[in-house]
Amino acid sequence: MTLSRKIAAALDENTRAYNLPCVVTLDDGPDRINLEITSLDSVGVALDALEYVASDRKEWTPEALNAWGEKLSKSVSYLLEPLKVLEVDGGAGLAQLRSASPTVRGDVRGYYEVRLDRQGICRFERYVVDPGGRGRRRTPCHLTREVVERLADDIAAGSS
Amino acid sequence: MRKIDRDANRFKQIVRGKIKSDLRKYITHGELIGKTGGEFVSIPLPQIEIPEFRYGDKNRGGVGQGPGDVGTPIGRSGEGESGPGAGEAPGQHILEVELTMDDLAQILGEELALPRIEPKGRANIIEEKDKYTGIRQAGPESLRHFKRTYKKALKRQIASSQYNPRDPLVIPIREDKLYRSWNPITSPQFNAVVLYLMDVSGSMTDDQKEIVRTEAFWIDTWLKSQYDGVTTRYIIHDAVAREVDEHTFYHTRESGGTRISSAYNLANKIIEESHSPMDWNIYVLHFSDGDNWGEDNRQCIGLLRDQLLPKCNLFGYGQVESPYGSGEFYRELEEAFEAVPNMALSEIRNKEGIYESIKEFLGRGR
Repeated sequence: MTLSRKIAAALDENTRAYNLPCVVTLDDGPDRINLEITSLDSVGVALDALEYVASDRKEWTPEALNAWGEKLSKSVSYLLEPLKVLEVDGGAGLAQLRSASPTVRGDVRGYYEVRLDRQGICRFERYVVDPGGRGRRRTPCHLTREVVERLADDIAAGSS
Repeated sequence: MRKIDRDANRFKQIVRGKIKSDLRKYITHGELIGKTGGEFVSIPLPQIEIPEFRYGDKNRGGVGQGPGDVGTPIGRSGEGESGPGAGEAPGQHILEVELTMDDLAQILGEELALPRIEPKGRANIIEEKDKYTGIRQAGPESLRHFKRTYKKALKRQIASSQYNPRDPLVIPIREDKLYRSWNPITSPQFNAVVLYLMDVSGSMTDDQKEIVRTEAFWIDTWLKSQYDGVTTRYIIHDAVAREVDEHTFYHTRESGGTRISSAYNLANKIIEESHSPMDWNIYVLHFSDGDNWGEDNRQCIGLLRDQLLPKCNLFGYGQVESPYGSGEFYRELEEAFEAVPNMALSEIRNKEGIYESIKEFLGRGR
């Protein structure tokens, strides 16, 4: 069973059972996914973060992280904001992707951020820039269930 | 003063007034940067209108042409139809006025109420200049003072009744000839070095770099007006810092992470190796979007407190807002160096923010 199927099954079975907010953890061989759910219904999910851990590789080189990021930026084309690799820090073993163009709604700008680190962890989050411009804060990602399932599969596929 | 000089001065005052009233526009648009050439800057002033006569409808009409009969009235110009298409004649030209960089700096200082900088340290660099201030009776012909020579010859000829007003021929002899001479003048020279540091990591866009470029131009203009010699050095950084030339500084984009401490370390190394704080007035100006990675903020604060701030006249940090907002670095510095007199912090949200930011950096008179 693929990650997406496991996610679908877990969400279907537990739509009403979860005590929100909660973290749903699913394993698929060497892969693990944590969904930090803040809200859930039959159509969509609000996630504080989606974290994927690929434990089949000891250390990710900066080149491997960059390749993973590039694959993600190509395959994850169904979000309203396409992703792009912004920074790769070889020393710290980190790669960062963000929405190519943040979405502006009124005074508020929002964007996705994906961090890949040398331990093979991918963290997907959403941020908004405060209207005053002083700083940014994390906000839940509102995604349909299908998008969450597909996203998990694409992140896993990119890591291989 | 001749009338033409008075008119020229009056024109200059009008131009200065116009530039002053539109200074904010010139600063934010950055259009002056491309118009600098050596010591002059060319400023477009489309608003100055030269008064001219405008004729009314009456008495219009040209002179008739061709043969006519006696008593035939000359035709009047009527309401014609507009011609087709665009004209080929050149349009109205925008007046461009040339201004010295010193004048521009003066206008900037007056408009932003910038205090004059008090150079620190000893002015131990003594510059020696030759100035033609004296007159001698011997010297090379190329330095002969024609006016004084002529006057002396004239006086001698009049005194010895050799001068004939009907034939006003004045011939200088050897004793009449006077030559310019020079005296060496020594003056202390205050030197300054400006180190521009810029984050060129992937999150810094071209728009942000344009803001940095515009701001650096005005800061340069002011500092150059305050010191005899200003040396500018450029450092770019992502996770690693390196010194580059001006063009590379403004046109490089890297995809590495952001480690601000790498730039502070390099700046400190350059100061230690080439610009002793005893001899130089040191300015370090850093621009970033404030997205520093990991635990680097703490390292930066340590470097600033122990190394850079004791050596600098002024350390300026400008946080330029990116499409992704502003990072945390500004707030970290604000908390750590709240009342440090030689630390200036500025948040630049967009091009409109450059004006206030320059004021923040240069308004301390350091």
